[in-house]
Amino acid sequence: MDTIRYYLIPLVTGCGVLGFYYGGNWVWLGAATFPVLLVLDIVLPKDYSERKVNSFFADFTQYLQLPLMIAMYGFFIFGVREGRIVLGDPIHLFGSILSLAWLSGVPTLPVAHELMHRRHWLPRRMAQLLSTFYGDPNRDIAHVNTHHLDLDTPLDSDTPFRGQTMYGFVVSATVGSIKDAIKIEAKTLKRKGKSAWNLSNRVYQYVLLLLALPAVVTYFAGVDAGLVTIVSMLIAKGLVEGFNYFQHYGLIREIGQPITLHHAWNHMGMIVRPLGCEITNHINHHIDGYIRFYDLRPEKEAPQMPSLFLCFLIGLVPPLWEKLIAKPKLKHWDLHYASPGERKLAVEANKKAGWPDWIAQEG
Amino acid sequence: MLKKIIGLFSPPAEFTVSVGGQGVQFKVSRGQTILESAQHQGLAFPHECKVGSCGACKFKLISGKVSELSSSAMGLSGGLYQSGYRLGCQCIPKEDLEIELDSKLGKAIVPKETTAVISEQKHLAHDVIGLTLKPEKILTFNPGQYADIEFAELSVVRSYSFSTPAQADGSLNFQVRHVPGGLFSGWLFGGDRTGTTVTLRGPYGQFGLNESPDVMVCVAGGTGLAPIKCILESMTGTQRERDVFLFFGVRQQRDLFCIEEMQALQADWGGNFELIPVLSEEPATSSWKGKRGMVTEYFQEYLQGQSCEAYLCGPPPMVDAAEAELLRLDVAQGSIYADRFYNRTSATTQ
Repeated sequence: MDTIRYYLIPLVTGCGVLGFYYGGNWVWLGAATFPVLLVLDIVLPKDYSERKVNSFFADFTQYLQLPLMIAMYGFFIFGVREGRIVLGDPIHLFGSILSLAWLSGVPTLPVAHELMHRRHWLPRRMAQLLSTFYGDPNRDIAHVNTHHLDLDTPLDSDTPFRGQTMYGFVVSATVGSIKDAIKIEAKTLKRKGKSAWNLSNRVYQYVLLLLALPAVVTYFAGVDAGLVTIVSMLIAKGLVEGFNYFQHYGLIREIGQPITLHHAWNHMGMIVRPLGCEITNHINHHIDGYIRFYDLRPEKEAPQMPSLFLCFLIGLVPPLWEKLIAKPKLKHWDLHYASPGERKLAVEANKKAGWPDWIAQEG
Repeated sequence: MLKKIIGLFSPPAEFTVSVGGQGVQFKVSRGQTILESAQHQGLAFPHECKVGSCGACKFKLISGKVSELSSSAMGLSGGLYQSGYRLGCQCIPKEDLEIELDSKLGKAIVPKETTAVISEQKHLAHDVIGLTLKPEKILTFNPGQYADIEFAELSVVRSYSFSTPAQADGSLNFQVRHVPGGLFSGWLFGGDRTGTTVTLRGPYGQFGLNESPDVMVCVAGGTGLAPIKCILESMTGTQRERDVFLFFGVRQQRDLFCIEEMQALQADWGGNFELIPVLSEEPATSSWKGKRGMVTEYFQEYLQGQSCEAYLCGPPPMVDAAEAELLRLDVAQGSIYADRFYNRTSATTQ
């Protein structure tokens, strides 16, 4: 039964495929899954249950995502070529952009994330291709080598600092992960005794893949469709980092200290857990990055956040996010979870963000 | 050629890794790293971080091919990488390998899981309980290691260091500090829990005794005493000829515990054994005649000019301060072993 939950991912992506297959106003079908999933995730109770799955069929959902995404873009191209999708029509245009962006972002990122943590080269390369749809084909480099080692410290561009807005984070996380990947690739090649310009540098693949998707769409469906692809990739990247913002917002860890249960926020929504391949059931993934998504044990005791969708909506208005969620949650974290060393850093972080010193007031 | 093509579709289930010069061989299952397999088979393959950054699990690849999860170059210097070194935590064999290690590959204890019954709980101090568990299966461990205790009813897993060497009847002793708001310690302090069944997993951790003629400097903060006490109690014969300075830091007199046991150990010690309790928040007007302040304030007085090896256990700030002070007193970084205790954690000890 639990295995079926994970078929929500191909089901949602499949809506996009179907929408582009039929064309016309149906191009909105993929985007329309967003409000439905949002409402369900907010309304349904939290889900702390452990999963009992058939690992083959659960893993199969991960390998469906790449063909589905290719199919979706394929039908988008055919739809434009055959006139079922008219990009001069604002309804078709915005429907196409939003569907492509949403499905390239949220159901695709968690699958890419799961596959980039696998050991075989095939899923890892599939993750690279999937990450291209949201404009970040080298995401795994910084993710594995920086985020997993340095999370919750100033060294990690994937950890938003206290007071940082979602919009600021989208920019800093993007720039940070690109810079990290370039540096890591150059350093690794240097240590191997090769030039940073060596053709095995994955930065070349990054550039080629980023250009390839819009180029292929442009070649087969024209410049307008190519531009739609670029805009969709940019929005998808924004969505990915926007949702990523809530995984470690404001959390603190002393550099060099072990990663423990309180170093991630967990969003245990009944929808977001399967849709996100348990990426929001987050902390045990950081304690052991090789645990398969369905084997991640929910930790009721670890820090919790409300529905990820709700956080996302509120996060769009930064003052509301800080007032309603960020400050109360981080105050509780500082007072109940943080180690003495982390509290000292939290005092500084709160001061820097212009927040009250609740540790001195209540600690 | 045909054999090669068939091999693509039916790769061997495992490969053999031979450690040159040591006569040791072990199998690595398909998809597993060299380090994982060595650990599963009870070999003490050197390691620390297990994520490719510390370089502790490095080995020299003499022959055979590996695939790497992340390039070993990330955790090694250019010189080491180019001279053939790779990381055990990142390398998956693609064929049989011959490797070399810089140190001797010994045997380690393979962690296992068993149920255990709480056979005794004794208040050692106002906020510390001595917990005795009787496991269903015998659990062997090295002094200084820890185990995970899982209490399913509360869905909690907590890590505690063994506080005594293995007992003759297989019983295992731990020290549990009451953490305000802590689920497991709160439950334990809430009543008599003897007879309750828990799940025990272990042993884990690499903290333990290093054979050396140097003066042994032990620094314990609170229940950080547990692994140090366990190590000291396990030392026998000539090991007890080593001089020991045991700094035991707590806040107030009422926080002190196991003093009599430490004094008994002191009386039975061959070398010089100094027990130095230090109270950081003892009221100035109290009857306490011993040391006051932070443990680090007394290092220079006792250790100046001695060749030392240090074992530090307790809350991270204390361990950090102790490490910094020892380095200032010219104790070599490589001679300082630390076990930092955290609250609410599944990955570290309390």
